[in-house]
Amino acid sequence: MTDNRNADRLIRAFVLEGENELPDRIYDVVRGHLYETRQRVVIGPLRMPLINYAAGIGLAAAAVVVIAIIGYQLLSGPNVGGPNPTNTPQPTPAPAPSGAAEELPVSGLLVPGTYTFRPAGGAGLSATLTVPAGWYAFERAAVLKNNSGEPPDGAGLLSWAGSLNVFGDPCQWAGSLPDPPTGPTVDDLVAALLAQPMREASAPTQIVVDGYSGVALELTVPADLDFAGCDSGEFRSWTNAEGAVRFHQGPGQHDLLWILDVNGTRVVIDSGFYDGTSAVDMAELQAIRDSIHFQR
Amino acid sequence: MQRDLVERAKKGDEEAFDALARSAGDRCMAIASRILRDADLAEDAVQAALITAWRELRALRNPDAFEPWLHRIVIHACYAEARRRTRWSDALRTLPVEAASTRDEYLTVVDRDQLERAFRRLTVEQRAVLVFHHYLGLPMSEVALRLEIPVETAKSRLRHATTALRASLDADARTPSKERLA
Repeated sequence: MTDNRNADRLIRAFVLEGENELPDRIYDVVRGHLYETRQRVVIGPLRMPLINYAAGIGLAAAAVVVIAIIGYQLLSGPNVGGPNPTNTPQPTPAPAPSGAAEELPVSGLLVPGTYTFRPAGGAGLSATLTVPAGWYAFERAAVLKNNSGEPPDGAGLLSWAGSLNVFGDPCQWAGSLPDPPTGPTVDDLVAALLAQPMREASAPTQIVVDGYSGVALELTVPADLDFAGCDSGEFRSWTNAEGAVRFHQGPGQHDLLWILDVNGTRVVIDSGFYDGTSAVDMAELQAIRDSIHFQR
Repeated sequence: MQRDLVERAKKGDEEAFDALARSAGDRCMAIASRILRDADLAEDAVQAALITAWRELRALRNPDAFEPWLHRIVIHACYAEARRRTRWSDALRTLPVEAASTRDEYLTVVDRDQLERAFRRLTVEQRAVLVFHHYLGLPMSEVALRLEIPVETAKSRLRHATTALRASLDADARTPSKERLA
């Protein structure tokens, strides 16, 4: 039994533990955002945005790019967000933070630019992607718009490499991992995903991305599914050798998968979105996906 | 000095705001990391808070109150960060969590584990009261003022949090540890 005085001393000692220094890179990121973040001017009880000259030019340029992308999508048919890797328009990238691509950090709001990312589980494999404003890094392997992949309007791009084991049942997933595990090829993964129950899957399409061949496939989580009825309240697609799990953020989530063979390593680029994801966010997600280049 | 920087930053001087951020950033990080108990989440919260502070700086009427005002923004960023991460926290997390930089020898591994588990069960609002009271050393009236809540609410949160943490230490029939220095 710990008496209260002793317990309070322990509690205080515990609360005093922690980090004491903000890394320099955070100041650098904040500094990078000052130029493009509008300061609000306060006039009595009213507030209105004050746009500086540089930000104004940036917003105008961004608007032109977004309008161009949306216009292209409207003209090219209803396949918004669908597999179309070889002929999608390339966005005009925002200015990169520096000449060379920086490492995608573990977390944090990103300065628009090009970053090197490392797909989860893919030791040694890296690629670059280019993000516009408003995207956050996640675990060096993913980017999320507004730091949220949540329904009803989130958007995110995740990347995986190497071995993945697909759950036999994404809802009642406990004990459903196959033994032997899902095979190592693109076709093995596609077959395992198509065999999962409760997935509304598109027809697989052959693609070539940055010179690497593979398959595009769109999977959808049933819109009327109550996750509370699933094991641990989670709807899961796969897991990897390190124990990281691709679980889904809500009913109705779409996942456009690019499953590629990159020099013998299987890579999955997973674009997650919802019916409620805005056209602008969809265009940005597609532009990020199309900007991916694998480092040889 | 700080007053001058605030005045200049309010007029859009980015250099002045950068200097302000660097003077206040470590304290903000200390607060956020003690509330969130995760260095990566704390960095995200402070980064978001500093950007918000820049955007909202013109609404700060008293330049001398910059740091308490900034701490309030950090707290709200911690609230948002804690809630935002609830469903993404396990996916893709393959990197080891870094150890805290400040560690108290008084705490045994078992104490720390018990307290860590109990602390994570507290609401982020209760954690904020604990940190403002114990880490910043503020009296409850000032804690309430800083967090913009009634004093009774602040006291209630502290009482509930303390009770929960005390209970965690009593939860198992541990033998008294010889590692403890008391």
